[in-house]
Order: sequence, then C-alpha cells, then structure tokens
Amino acid sequence: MKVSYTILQSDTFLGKSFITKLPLLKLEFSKLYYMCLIDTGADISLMNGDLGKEIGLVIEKGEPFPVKGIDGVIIPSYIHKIEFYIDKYFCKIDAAFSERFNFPFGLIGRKDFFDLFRICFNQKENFFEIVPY
Amino acid sequence: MKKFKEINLIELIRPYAKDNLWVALNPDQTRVLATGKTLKEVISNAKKNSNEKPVLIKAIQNYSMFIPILQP
Repeated sequence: MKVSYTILQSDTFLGKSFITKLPLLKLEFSKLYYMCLIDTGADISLMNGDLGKEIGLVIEKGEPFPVKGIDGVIIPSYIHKIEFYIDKYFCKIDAAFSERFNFPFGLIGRKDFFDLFRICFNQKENFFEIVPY
Repeated sequence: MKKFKEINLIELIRPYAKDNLWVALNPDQTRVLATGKTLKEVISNAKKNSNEKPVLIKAIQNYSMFIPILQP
C-alpha cells in the first residue's frame, strides 16, 4: 500500500516559512481517523490521552509506562492494546497514552507496528509504502 | 519514476494554526468538517456538522521546527 506524504507549513518566529513533508498515516478507529507520524526513532507508539478516552479506554487502567523524551523529561503514560485499520489491514498494537502528550498527531513507534509491516520511505517520490509481512 | 502527489494540507489548516485548534477533515482530507479547542470538542462538532468519519489533526504554526520533545 502506497501512501502519499503530507505537506504542512511552518512559520518561524523570524518570519520565514518552510514546507514540511511528513509521513503521516490515517489510523481508522470505529468513529474517527487519527493522524499519526511514522516515527522510526520511537520505541513505542504514543498518543493523546483524550484520543484514548474517545476510543473507549480508561487511560489510568493501562500498564504504567514512564515516557522519556529527548529532553530527558519523563511523563506518565499508560500502555493499552489498541485495534484499528489502515485501509483494509487490521492492526493490533501496544500504544502508550498520556494526558501530557500534546503533539499535533500521534506517533507510530517500532513496537508491534514495525513487526506487522515492512515500511519503505520514498520521500523523493512523495510516497511511503507499507507492506504487511 | 512518476512522482506521487502529496496531500497538501497547508491551505486547509492555515486559518486555525494561530489558535492551535484541533481540526476535523473529511476522509479525503479536502474539506474541514469542524474545529475545536480540544479533541473532545472537535469530535463533537464534527458529529453535528457531518456524517462523515472525521480525520483528526491539530493545527499549529510550526511543523518544520517541530521536534518530538515531550513537554512537562
């Protein structure tokens, strides 16, 4: 399955604008899609706590998991097994949810997801490809 | 090799970036269904405005300099 890169704009405080090209993937839950960045540097997928509530999770009932960012700050999160579709492909992965995670999209990390799909980035051709194993 | 066409969200999201709003797009990501200050609010507003399943993303002003640092 080939997926187009998504283009977003960034306006810096210096008044300059940049175009950012990101490998974003739509995770399909029962009532909504949630945009996630494929993040090869993330050990585990990380998502917004409010998203977890919307898909029916009681966040604090998950397995406690302190997430450490590259700034060294640790925030509390809770791991849940979640299910969703990507196009026709059913996925079941562990993901951490945190109320303190306030990214503009979720992060798809390596745990579980990278065992489900072979992922190939073709940024120059504006697409990435995910192929189920 | 023929290039894929990117999904360009710049114009769709720009009006909401200053206020850091959550945006609900239609599944093709060509229209804005609703906005909201929180995820809960944007989902609620999207339900009122449309029967389409919303695609959720947060509008911010700077994705380029965005480094995945978790804020305390």
